[in-house]
Amino acid sequence: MCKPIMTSVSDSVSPRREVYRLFAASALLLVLGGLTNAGQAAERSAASNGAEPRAKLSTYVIEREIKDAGKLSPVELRDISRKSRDVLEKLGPNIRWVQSYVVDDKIYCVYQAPNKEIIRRHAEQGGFPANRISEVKNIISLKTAE
Amino acid sequence: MPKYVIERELPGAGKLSAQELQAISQKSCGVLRDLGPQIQWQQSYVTGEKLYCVYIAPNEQLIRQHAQQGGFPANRISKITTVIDPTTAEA
Repeated sequence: MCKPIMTSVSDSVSPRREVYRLFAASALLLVLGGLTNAGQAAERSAASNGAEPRAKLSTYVIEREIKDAGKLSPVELRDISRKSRDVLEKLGPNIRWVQSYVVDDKIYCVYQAPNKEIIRRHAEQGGFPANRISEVKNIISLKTAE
Repeated sequence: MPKYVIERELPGAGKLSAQELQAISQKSCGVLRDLGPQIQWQQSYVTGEKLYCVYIAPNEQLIRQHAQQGGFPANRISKITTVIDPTTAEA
């Protein structure tokens, strides 16, 4: 019952409409191809910054030995934070500063990054020491005892 | 109340199992209960060879006492003067 109707619909398509349809399909393919290329280009660009998108991030503790760090004024700490943030922005979204504990002669920094290398690069570009960089395997607290 | 960072050198710390970490945490909590409410454990970052622990305590002495009673090393104890994070850049 259905077959003859389908045949008749197909038969009713004019050659001109068929050409339009082919043209529209080709245009769509071109647009999709272009989008894919743009996506790959963006990924290549991010990779060249050392910032592969969606990289798996680990947490790191960085020991920075800074004489008299505990005596830094709020303005000095703000300036250091700005410098750090500026370098982080250049390095891309895969390195994140969580927080830092300032003590007498050291700053213990907690960062998230895909590897130690990008943390070293941040330190070099910012002019910060990075005397020891250790990957955090676990974070424990009172809850761990339960 | 001041906060402190304690470095505890513990070779192989990063390889401790969940059960071992739980046992250490329970031991630590037991000693903390004995020492009273003035000393509080915030959190610890466990790395390959070291633990970085953040505690709230009235003085360094109480942190040393906790380490001695729990049998934990406390290689370096430093009073935190400031905690900074990305928002510090906006100040």
